[in-house]
Amino acid sequence: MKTRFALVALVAACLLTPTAALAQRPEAQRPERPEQTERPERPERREAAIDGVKTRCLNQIDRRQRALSADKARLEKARFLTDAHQAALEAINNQTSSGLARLADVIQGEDNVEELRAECRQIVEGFRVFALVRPRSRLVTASDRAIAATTKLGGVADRIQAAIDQAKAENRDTAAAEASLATMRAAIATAASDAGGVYEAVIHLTPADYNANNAVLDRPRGKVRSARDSLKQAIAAGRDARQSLKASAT
Amino acid sequence: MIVRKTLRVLALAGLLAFGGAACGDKTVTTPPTASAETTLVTDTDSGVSTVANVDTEKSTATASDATDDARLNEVDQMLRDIEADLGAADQDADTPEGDPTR
Repeated sequence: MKTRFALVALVAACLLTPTAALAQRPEAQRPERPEQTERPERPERREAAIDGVKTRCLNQIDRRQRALSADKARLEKARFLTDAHQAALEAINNQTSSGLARLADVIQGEDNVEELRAECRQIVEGFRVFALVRPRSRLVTASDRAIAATTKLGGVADRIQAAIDQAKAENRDTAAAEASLATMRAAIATAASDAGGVYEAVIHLTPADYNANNAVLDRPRGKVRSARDSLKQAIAAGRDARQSLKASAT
Repeated sequence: MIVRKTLRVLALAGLLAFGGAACGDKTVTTPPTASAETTLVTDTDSGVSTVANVDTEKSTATASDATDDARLNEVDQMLRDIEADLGAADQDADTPEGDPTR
């Protein structure tokens, strides 16, 4: 009995010892492996991560600088944009562009990841090139164009009035022409009023204003749309008035 | 003697006839002058001047129409430009600014 127990114990010992040895070996080696590989890699990885973020951020700044340059070129050629409005928009573009250039220098020299992330967020939140600067420029251009259009249409309306006066002197029926002219003049006045307030509504807006209220350009944009619709109505009414005058002459 | 007198008379008559014919031709072949035209218009002032006035009015009216057409067409073009500005403003506003760090 004792001999059988001893044999069983021997067999068990033979089987378990290598298993325990195998199980212990990786445990002993595990801490060594990461220490050997990670210790020299950590600073490199960190540096590579910083460089990656820097590249992405600097690319985003370049993208905005290109957009501002394109807007500047467009403003220089924009017809009907008043000189004062053009100067104000160009000043904003220049300030935005130089601000982004300074930020690019800061980002280039940054070696702290957290600081770098905060500086990169400033590219968007501190300048709002696509959400505010460029749309504002377009809205001012469009509203100045609309105001110039009301002046031109006013001249046409005056000529139609003169034609109506002449037709009246010749005892022709001018009722339809007069009604169309009244519609035309009302539409011109509405367009002038809507377009006239756009510049003041948008020119002083800052990125902080946009950050506080993302819909800050919605109302001025609606005013330009409304002015456009009124101009369409004025043109149609002017053509109707002229047609009525021609019909009364035959 | 009689023959000489007859020949002189004939020669004189011939000269007169040639001179008269030449004068007649000159009258016919002279091209009309500006003064002749002016005389014609003033002679028939009632008819001609009325036609001239109507023509002037028509041409003035046509010129006025053309000017108005041109101005209305120009405003039409300005409307298209306003439309383009609005479209571009919308497109810019829709451009995702995103997070440059990601």
